[in-house]
Amino acid sequence: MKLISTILISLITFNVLSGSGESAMLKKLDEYMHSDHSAVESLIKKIESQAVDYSDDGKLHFLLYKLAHLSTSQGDNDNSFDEVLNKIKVSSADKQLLLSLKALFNRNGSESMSSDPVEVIEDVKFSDPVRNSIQKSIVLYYRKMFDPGNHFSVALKHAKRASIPILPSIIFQVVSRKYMEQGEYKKVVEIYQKAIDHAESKDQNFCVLQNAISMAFVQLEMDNLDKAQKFFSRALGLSNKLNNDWFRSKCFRGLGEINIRTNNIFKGIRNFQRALTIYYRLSSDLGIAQTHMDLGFAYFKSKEYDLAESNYQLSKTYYDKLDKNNEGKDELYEKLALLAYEEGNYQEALRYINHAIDLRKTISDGELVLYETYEIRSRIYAALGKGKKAYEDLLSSTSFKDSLYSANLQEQIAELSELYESEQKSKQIYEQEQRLKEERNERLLREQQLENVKLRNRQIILIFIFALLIILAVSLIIYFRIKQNRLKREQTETELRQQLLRSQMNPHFVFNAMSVIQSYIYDNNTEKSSEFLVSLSRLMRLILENSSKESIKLNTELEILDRYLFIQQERFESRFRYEILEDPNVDKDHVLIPPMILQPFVENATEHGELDKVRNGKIRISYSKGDRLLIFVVEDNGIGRKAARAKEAKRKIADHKSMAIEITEKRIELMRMKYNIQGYVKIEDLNVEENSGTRVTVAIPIID
Amino acid sequence: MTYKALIIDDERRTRSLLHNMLSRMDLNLSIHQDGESVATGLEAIEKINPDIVLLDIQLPDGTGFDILERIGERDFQVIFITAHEEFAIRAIKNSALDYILKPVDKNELEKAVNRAIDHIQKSSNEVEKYDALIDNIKNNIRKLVLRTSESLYIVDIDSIMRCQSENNYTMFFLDDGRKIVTSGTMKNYEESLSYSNFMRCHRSHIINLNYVVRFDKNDGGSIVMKDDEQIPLSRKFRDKFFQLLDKLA
Repeated sequence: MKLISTILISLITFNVLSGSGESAMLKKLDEYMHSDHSAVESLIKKIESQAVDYSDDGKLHFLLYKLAHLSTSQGDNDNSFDEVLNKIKVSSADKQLLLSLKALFNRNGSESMSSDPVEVIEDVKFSDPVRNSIQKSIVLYYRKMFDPGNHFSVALKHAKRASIPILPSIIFQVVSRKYMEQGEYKKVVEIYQKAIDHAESKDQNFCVLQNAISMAFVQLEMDNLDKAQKFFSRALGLSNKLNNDWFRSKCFRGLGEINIRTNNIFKGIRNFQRALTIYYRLSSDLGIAQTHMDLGFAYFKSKEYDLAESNYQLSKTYYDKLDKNNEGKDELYEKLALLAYEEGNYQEALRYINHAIDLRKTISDGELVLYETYEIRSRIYAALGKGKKAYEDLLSSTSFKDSLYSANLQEQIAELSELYESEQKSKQIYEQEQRLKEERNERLLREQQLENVKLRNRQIILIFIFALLIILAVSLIIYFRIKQNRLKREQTETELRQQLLRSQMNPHFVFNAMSVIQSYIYDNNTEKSSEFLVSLSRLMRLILENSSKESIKLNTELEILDRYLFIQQERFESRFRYEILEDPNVDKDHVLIPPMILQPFVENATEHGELDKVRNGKIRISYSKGDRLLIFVVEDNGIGRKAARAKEAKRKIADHKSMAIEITEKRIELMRMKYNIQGYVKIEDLNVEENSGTRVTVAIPIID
Repeated sequence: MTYKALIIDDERRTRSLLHNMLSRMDLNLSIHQDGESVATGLEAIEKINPDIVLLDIQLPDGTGFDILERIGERDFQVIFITAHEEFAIRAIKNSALDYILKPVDKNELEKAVNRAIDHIQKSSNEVEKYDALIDNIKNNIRKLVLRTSESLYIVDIDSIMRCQSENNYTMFFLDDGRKIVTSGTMKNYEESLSYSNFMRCHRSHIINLNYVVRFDKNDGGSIVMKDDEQIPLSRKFRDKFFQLLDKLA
C-alpha cells in the first residue's frame, strides 16, 4: 500500500509539473506566498485569468492557495472565491471539496452552504491520496468521529508528499480547528507548534505566520499572556516582512488585548488604534466594528466613558452595516449595557443586555457565555430595584455555570493544576538556569580574555601557515610548468628526430642505391659492387647510429655527408663534383652539432637541383666559426630554387625543399630554447639572371 | 613478329640493366635505350615508334607522365619503372596500368612485358587508361579503370556505390544505376578503394559509406543503401562500421 501511494503521489507531482507555463506560475505563487502579500495578490489575479487551461491538479493547487489567501486577507468579503470557482471550470468533485473546505475555514460561510457539506462530499470518490486525505479530514470533522491521531497523520503524510506546498498547512488547520472545538487546547498548541516547525523547515514564511497567529490566539484563550505576546510579536515581524496588512492588524488587536489584560491600558489603546487604521485601509467592516469595540472597552477600563461610548457607537454602526449576526456583536451589546450601568443609565443598560441575551440565544456557542449576561442583568435589575427578577437571573446564571462545569469540572481542575505545576516546575528550572548562566558568564568573561590572547597567537600562526602554503603552491605550479615545458620540448625533439630519420632513410634513395648495385652485378663488376655495397652499408649504419642522438661530433656529420654524396655521385655517374672544405680553426673532433643538420639541404641539391643539367655540377660544403655560432654553407650551381619549385609543383610530389627548411628551423628553435643562442637558416639564389645556383647558410649554436 | 621496346630512364646504369635483362629473355624484342629525359624520350618515341615503352617516372626535366601527356599518338604499351613513389604507384594501379619496381625482379619484368605483348596481339586500345592516369595524377586520384571482357570503363571513385564479389568476378554498382562486371577478384580493387570512404562490410561486399541510408537491425543487422539494396554486415566488421559512420557524421 505504501508503495502504491508513493507511486500515486509521484504521478500527481508529475502531472502538476507537466504543464510548463502552469507549473512555472504555480511555483512562482508558492514563492510569492511566502514573500510579499501584494505581489501574491497581483499574481493570483494573473493566474485567475489563465487557470481555465490548467490541469485538474493545477487548478486544485491554485484554488487551495486562493482559499488560503482569502481566508486570511479579506475576512468578511468571501464571495470572490465562489466567483473564481465558477469561472475556473474544475470537476464537480473538486468543487465540492473546495466549497466544504471553505465552509470549514469560514464559520459564517457554513450557513451559505445549501446542504450539509459532509453529505455532498462523502459520496464523491477520489482516486488520488491528496484529495482523499482532504476529503477524509473534512468528513470526519463534520461527522464528529474524528480520530485525529490516526487519520490526521495519514492525511498529513499525503499532504507533505504532494507537490502543493500549502497543503500540510491546510491539514494542520483542519485538525487544529477540530481540537479547538473539542476544547483540547493542549493538543491544539501541539498541532500549531508542529505546523510552525514544518513550515519553518520548508521556509514557508506565510504558513509560519498563519500558524503563529493561530497559536497566539490559542495562548491568549488559555490566558498564557507571555506566550501569546511572544507569538504575536513574532507574527507581527513576519507580517511586516510579508507586507500582509490583514495579519498585521490581527497582531495589533491581539497585542492590544494582552495589554488590556495586563492593565497596560495606554499601550493597549495605541495597539488598537494601529489595528483600526489598517482595517479602515482594508475597509473591513467587521474588523472596524470589532476594533472599535476593543477600543471602547479600553477607554471604559480607564474610565473615559465618553470616548468609550463614541467608540461603541461607531462599532455598532459598522456591525449594523453587516447583514449577519457577526462575531462579537453580542459582546458589544453586553459592553454597552455595562457602560450604561456604570453611568447609571439602568434602563438603557437593561435594553442593551436584553438585546445581548437575544443574540446569544441564537448563536451556536452563545450559551457558553450566557451565564455572564444573566449575571449582569441581575445586577441591573438589582440597581433598578427589581429584586425578584434579579434573583431569577442570578439563579439562571448559576445553573448555567453548574451545567457547564459539573461534567468537566474535576477534569479541568486536574488539568489546570497539572498545567500550573508544570509551569511552576519550568519556572524553577528557568530560574536555576538563569543563575547558572550568570555564573558561567563570569567565568566565561575571564576565560575570554585568556582566549583572546591565545586567539591572536593562533591567528598569527595561521597567517604564517597560509603564506607558506601559498608560496609552496606557487613554487609547485612553477615547477610543474617548467617540467611540462621540458617534456613538451623533449617530445618535439623525439618527433623531429624520427622525422629526420625517415627523411634520411628515404626509400627512394635506398632503392635507387640498391638498383645501382644490381646493375654492377649484371655487369659482373664484383669489385665495384662490393665497394658500393660497403659504402651504402656504412652510410646506413652511421644514420641509424646517430640520427637518434641529441648531438654528434662534427667529424661524424662530415663523414655522413661524404658517404651520401659519394653514393649519389656513383649513381649519377659523376654528373657532379663535390667538395667539403675544412676549417682548421674548428676542432672537428670535439665540436658537437645536432645530427644531420645539413643533410636535407645536401639531398635537395643532389635530387632536385638537377646538377646534371649544368654539365659541371658542383656542390661545395664549408663551415666556419662565428659569434658563439657554427656556420655551415652549402652551395650548388644547380637549377636554383625557383625552377626547382616549378618542377616540384608540376610533379605533384611532396616539396622536399620546404620540408627540409621547416624541420631545420624547428630544430634550431629547440636549440635556442635550450641554450638561449639564436641560430638561423638562410637560402639565397647565387645567380639571379641565369636562375641557377643556391646557397644555404645554416648557423647553429656551438655546444660546449 | 618483332616488337620494338624503348627504355626511357635518366640513369645509364638502369637502362643497360634493363637492356641486359630483356635481351636474355626469350622474347622477340628489339631493344632501344635512347631516352634519358622528357625531351629525348619524346624524340625517341617519334623516331622509333615503339610497341612497348619502359618509362622511368622521375626524369631530370619532368616525369614520365609528362611524356604521356605530350605525345600525340599513344599506340604503345607503357610499363613504368620506379624505385619508390607511393602516390605515382597508386595512380598507376588505379588506371589499370603496369609498373615494375627497382631493384628489378627479372620475373616480374618478363611477366609485364608478356602482358604488354598480349595486349598488342589483342590490339586492345589502352588510350583511355592513359587519360585516366593523367587525370589521376592531376586530380589526386579520383578515377578508377575497370576492365570487362569487352571494354574499359573509367569511373569516378566517388560514383561507386558498392561492389560485390561473385566467384572470380566483381560487380560494381554505380550511383547512376549502372552495373559493371569485371573479371578481377575484389581484393584487386580493395586497396584502390581504401583511400576513399569505402569499407568492407562482408566477405563479398565493399560499400561506399557516402551511400549508406540506414542500418537495419533485423536479422543480425544489414546496411540499406541508397538504391534500397540490403547489404549484410558481418559481425567482425560491425565495430569498424559504426566507428567510420561516426567519423563521417
